[in-house]
Amino acid sequence: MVAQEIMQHYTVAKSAQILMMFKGGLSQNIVVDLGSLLQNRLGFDVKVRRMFGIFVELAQNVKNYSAETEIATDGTEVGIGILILADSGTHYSVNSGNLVRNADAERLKSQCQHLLSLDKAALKAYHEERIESDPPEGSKGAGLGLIEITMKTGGNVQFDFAPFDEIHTFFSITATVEK
Amino acid sequence: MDSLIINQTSQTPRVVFDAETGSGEIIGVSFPEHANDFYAAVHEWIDQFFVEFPEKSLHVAFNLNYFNTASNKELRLLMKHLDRLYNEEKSVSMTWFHEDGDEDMEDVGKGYSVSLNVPVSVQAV
Repeated sequence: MVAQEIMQHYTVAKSAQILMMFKGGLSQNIVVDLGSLLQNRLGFDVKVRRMFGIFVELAQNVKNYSAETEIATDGTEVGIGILILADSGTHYSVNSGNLVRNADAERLKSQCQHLLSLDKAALKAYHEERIESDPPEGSKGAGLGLIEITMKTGGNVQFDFAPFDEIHTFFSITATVEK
Repeated sequence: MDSLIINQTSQTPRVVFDAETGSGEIIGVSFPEHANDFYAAVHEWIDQFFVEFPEKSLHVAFNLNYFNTASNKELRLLMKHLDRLYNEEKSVSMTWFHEDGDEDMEDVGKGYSVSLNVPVSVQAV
């Protein structure tokens, strides 16, 4: 029975061409360790670095904004979520998933729609505007992560939402870059 | 004046600023949890340098192959700090190194060389 279950996980991971998957609390130390694992596995050439940049932004997004949290070993409260890195042969796809409060999901949806509506020049201008101003209310970073991911993928990013329970929505980001 | 020396880690760059030679280097990757705290020491050192040695020159070399968005913002603040000093007639210059073929990093350096008054030399390595 156990082997059947593990084999299912294995088969899913294999058919989805998964290089790495992590589910849990994303403290800064875990983000750094996953980054090292990734570099050990793939090296750090310019293409990998572009993917790595997206990976770090997604990981730090989950850490800072997931509605599901735990206390990490360093004593800080960190977000819980899932990160999946897959290699299709020609592209890397970096995925993140975490819970958000239903009330925040609406705001997030309109923010994502806005990003996807911008062309390259408008994205660059928006990035410039944001980097020059104070971080948005409630932001724990520079408030630039989603803009940067949209820029780095050339718009090849999907923001998706699924109902989770009465108060939470599951928020996923799938970013794809050429290898 | 003491040198500023911060050893490289897997999330922060190696930082070396030497008052005697009037040179600074920031080398490696940058994605610390609190980027503003990390770069605060560099801002302080630079201000102190020009208090103690107003007539000296300072050259700062940036040689980074990856930084996250929060570090990007902090690096920009550092660049602007150096630009302010240059505009106050301090002798300041910079070199922005990027790996040959890394267009993202090259673009960042070229952006600075266009938008700032302080001389920024963009060089492939």
